[in-house]
Amino acid sequence: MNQVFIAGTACTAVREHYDRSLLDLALEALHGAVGSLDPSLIQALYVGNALGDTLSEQSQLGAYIAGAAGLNCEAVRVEAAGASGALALRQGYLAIASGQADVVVVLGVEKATDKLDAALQAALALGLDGELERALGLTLTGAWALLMQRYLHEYQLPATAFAPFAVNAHANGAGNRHALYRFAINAQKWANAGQIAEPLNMLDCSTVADGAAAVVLVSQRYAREIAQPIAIVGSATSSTNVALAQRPDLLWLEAAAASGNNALQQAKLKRDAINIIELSDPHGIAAALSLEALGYAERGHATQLAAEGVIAKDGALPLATAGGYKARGDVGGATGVYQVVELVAQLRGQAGANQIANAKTALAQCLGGVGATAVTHILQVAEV
Amino acid sequence: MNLPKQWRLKGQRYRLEGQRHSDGRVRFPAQPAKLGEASDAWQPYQLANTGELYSWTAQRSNRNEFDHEPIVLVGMIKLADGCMITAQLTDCEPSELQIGMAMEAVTRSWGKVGDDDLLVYGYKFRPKLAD
Repeated sequence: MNQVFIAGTACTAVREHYDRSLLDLALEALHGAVGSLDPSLIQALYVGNALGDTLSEQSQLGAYIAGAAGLNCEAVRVEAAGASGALALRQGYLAIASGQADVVVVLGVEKATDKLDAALQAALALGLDGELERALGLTLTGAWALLMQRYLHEYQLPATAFAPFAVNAHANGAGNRHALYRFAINAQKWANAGQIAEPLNMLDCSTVADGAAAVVLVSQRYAREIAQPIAIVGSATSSTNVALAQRPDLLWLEAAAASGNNALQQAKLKRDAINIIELSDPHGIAAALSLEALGYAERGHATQLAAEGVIAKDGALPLATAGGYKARGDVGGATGVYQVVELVAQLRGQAGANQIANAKTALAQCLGGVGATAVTHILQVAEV
Repeated sequence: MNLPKQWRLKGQRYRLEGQRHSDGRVRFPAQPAKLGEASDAWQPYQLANTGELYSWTAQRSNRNEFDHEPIVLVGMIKLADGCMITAQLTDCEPSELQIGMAMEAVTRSWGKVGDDDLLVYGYKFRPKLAD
């Protein structure tokens, strides 16, 4: 396997971009990431997108975006609900690692606000089991709420145990100019928020919005030309049953555990070597179950990591340092690429007010649906 | 309009048709054999129609087909035969729901489909009525 390096990165601000199309957002991110690189060197474009055919009524996004960018190369759209962008990154990684390509671009893009909220909820629910869950009215938020309700029951916790995840995300979002919500909240405000899908309240639910992020991946051949190369030292994905009722253990994210373990094994790293982490955290329960699946907390104890400040910027395992889903904004299938753009900024010391000192190794894990797909990447400052 | 799909699903939705393995395991809905399984390892089986509430939620932000309902109650029910099923809950308020409470299946309207407003029926669960 050849080594894979991240060169250029860029993302748009996450907003309700009513005046901009999916293509506008995609091209802004592509221009930013590619920069002065000769476009003729690009051998493939991998587009991570979850909702384009439903909400933007456009399929074949690979060719659609490549054509608009002036690229005549392999162009593929990758779909795995919220994990689409991360899975597109994995396809780009494999293209370089296998020696098939020396330069590829990975784009995550989502345009969520062309339709009203009920239609957006319907589109997001496509990541559930169509016949067993979506048909009876379950929403993606409702599915996570089922997990949270059971978690609270099994571990005898109050819902407020999850507040520190959102408080942490908002504290970090305040320092990210690309974030959708740039303000802090506190536990009291969290506790007073109205219910969305009991026991999930409004401040425990991310807002789905528009955005695009892109990264350029290169082989060793081009890595020497990069000012601060970042290596992808681990890349792994796994899957489990989409339908919650068909999982042997509702509160164990099996795919998240498998992909995390495999990525760490590939990187030859222990989990405590990770300096900074990004997870799928649209709700506190998602972050908690991911932390448990990755082995950072015993089952039923992940909320303690948040309560004790372990996930804060000055903690041992900073989480969501650009605001996570809750404050940066939930960019659907683009999220996996946003996570990597944000972590690369940290590893290059370019994260501004949210910079974590001496961050050398980072882990990004992105889930599709309620964790039916999980993709994990481990990034490290490289010396070439 | 997806009439063929609604027709195809009538067994699982009207009669809770699942499958039982020769070793006693039960699954829902009926499905083809997994890779490595004998094609006759699973036989048709009608699920138990009672069980316990395993988890639940009260959705207040719903997708378009359900947007007319202020709250959609959804639960997971662990049936008496061990099978887990996700279903809408009916004939109850959120304040009545407790994990572990006894539930029973009923057949109710799931809503309308397509331009002709085809009425689709299927299983829902409610708190078990006293014997």
